[in-house]
Amino acid sequence: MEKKYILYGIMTLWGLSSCVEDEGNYELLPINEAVVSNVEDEYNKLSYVETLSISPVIEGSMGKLDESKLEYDWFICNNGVSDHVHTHIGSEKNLEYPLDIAPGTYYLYLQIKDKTTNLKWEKRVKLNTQSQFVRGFYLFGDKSDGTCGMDFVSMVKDRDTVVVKDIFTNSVNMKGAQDLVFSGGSWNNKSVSLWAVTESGSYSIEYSSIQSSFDVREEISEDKFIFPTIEVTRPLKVINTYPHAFGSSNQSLSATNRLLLTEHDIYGTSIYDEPEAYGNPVNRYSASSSDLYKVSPYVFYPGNSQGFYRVTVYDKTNECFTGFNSYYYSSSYSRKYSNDTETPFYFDQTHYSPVRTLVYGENGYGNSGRSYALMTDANGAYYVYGFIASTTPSKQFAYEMDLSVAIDFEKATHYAFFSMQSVVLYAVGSQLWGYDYVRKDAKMLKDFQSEITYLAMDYNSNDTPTDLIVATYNASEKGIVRKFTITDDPNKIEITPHEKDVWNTDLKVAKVEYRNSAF
Amino acid sequence: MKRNIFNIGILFCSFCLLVSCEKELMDYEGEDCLYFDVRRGSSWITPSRWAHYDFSEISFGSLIPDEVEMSFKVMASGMPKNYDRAFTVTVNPDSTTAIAGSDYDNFQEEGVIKAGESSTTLTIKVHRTERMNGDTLLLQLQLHENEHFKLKYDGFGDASRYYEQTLNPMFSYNKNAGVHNLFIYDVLARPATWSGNDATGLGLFGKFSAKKFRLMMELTGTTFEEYASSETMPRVRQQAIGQLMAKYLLEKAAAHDPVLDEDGTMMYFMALSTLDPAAAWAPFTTPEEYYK
Repeated sequence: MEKKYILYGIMTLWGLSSCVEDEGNYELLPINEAVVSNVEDEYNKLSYVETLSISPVIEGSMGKLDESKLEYDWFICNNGVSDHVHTHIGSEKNLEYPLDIAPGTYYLYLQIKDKTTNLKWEKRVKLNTQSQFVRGFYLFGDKSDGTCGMDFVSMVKDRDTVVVKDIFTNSVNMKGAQDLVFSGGSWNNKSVSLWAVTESGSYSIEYSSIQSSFDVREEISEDKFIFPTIEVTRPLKVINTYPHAFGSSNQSLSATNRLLLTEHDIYGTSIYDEPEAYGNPVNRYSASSSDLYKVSPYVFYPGNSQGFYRVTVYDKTNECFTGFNSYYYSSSYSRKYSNDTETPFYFDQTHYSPVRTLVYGENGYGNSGRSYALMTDANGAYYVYGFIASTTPSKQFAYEMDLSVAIDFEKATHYAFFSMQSVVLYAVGSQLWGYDYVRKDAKMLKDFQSEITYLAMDYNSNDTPTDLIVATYNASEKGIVRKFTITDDPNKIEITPHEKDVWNTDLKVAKVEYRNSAF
Repeated sequence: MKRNIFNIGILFCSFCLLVSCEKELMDYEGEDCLYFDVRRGSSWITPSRWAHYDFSEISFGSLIPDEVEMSFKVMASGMPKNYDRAFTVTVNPDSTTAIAGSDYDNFQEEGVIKAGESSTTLTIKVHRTERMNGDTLLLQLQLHENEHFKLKYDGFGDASRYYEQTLNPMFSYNKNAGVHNLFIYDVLARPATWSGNDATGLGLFGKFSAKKFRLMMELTGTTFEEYASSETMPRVRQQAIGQLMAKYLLEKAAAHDPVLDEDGTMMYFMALSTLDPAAAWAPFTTPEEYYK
């Protein structure tokens, strides 16, 4: 019986003991923590070309840390670029990390471990990498072996302008560079494109700035997005798309409306929720017609426009300027302008004897986005027409050129109209000339001693109508691309070189195309 | 001590009671039966949960190939056996309108449920023929009883407990799982990108009809598959096709040889009025009305 009471007593004590609170008896002592310095909170770098170098200084919070007892691990976190992964990129104290990563925002983590205590400290660093291909100029041309190549004049903010060479893979071995057309950026990424036009055909080119190099988009071919049901001349070869990008921001003038110029025809479409595609060509004079006229490779619209509405093209078959009833549909067709008078020039060039024909066309920036048409006839005379493209173009002037003043104009290989003044620039061999078709004054502006392979006004990259670009080539110095400013003075024809805007390339440049697009 | 003996006795009795609960399980003792175990279902559903179907069908109108190989699973109820079990399956001539050697290849009438297995698969090759154009042919497969199998599932109606077959009033009438009907037809279905209103007859392509669709593919060289997606059949391409069709129809109408749709009215496309408003006609216009 007594044993039972003893057992009860022990159990009661056990139970009571569980009520005792353990208040502990800690003595907290500070430890010598790693303190990291000489590391920025944020780095801004270029993907694929730069190396991130970080040399952290490690000190103890209570004095010197024995670094021989420390281990280091660097991780990069790609959150925000792709699926979240932490990648181990270094085990040394100092980091040398070639940034062979897609442009984007990353976080770097430096983990420091005390091997004796297993204590760890961490430092987080933000890393922004951007593409060197967002803003700059594509240089498209032929290499010395005749195949096409591409360089990029990279103009990244807060960085020196550099020429990134040989960015084009050219897996199809295209040859004979003729043109390169970038559509410009847009909210509608279905309408963004980059086309290379060559003697061996036209090719859609990769344009995404997050890539490190570019090749042909072989999944895009003319037969897969141009679907005429009337007979057209094949093979189809894209030679241009309209509208072109506008201004330094390089936005396309229309996210939806597109004209596609092929070697023989012109097509229109509206791009909304479907991929870019075209139906029947517009170069016919009724929706039911299958008779296609040969269209000249120029589309006229105001170069300073904020949109892309009515355009003018040139009918090479019937030798006349013409417009479209609309250009968004397969049923669209061309419509000749009515009330044609000679003041100051006829739309229909067959009114002239001999008949005049279009040699070259350009859309300017100045003078309300004036368009220029360079005409010639069988007698070898040349004329300059100025007009504002619209539903019915507003004709502004027509001048016959004085070829006794404009030396060798008939031998010119490239033309460019200065839209602020009555000046046409032209290239003859290595010489750059300027001719004022109002004052009938000409001037040889520069002899580059190398063949001029490209000449164009550049009113986009600097938002100015006075910039021009000249590319030259010879076998020894290869290609050189230069920018100039032409003086905006009605009494002078004068160009001034941009000292810093001289870019060397191995290419015989056929096109210098500006882009400013994060696509 | 007496108390302890009592307690031990109670425990022993309880154990004895538990032992008395054990039962000898009965093996399957029913007759083994054969039946068609044809199932279909969405790809996101586990196949074992697909619904049983009492018929199969081949719609050549929505297929590019002219030849289709169909598979039919035959299932045996009961426990697998340690020996092969042969069975016979024949085409039932009384109910079959498809012709052997033409609409379908002669097939092996002997099947085997192999040792250790409970099912096998029969295949039959079917060809697109003119007889299927606008008509529906039936090929009825019939299992037969033998020393291994009975055919007792003649009240088809069970589902797979998860999903039931989508009933087709034309085809879902067979309740005998020893029989399976294969319906074969070559009728064009309305493609996903068809742009037109069947009720009003308006729209780019107007009211859908197989005759119109076939003519479109013939004249434009397009394929059924291209109409399945706006990737391959964007609106501008539809417009261009509509123009070609309208031009053809206008020429035929001008030659007093109008192309009639399945309902006897003049075939309509929206581009008729775009190409020639004066000569165009409205949806559902009869030749009599047009030439009047």
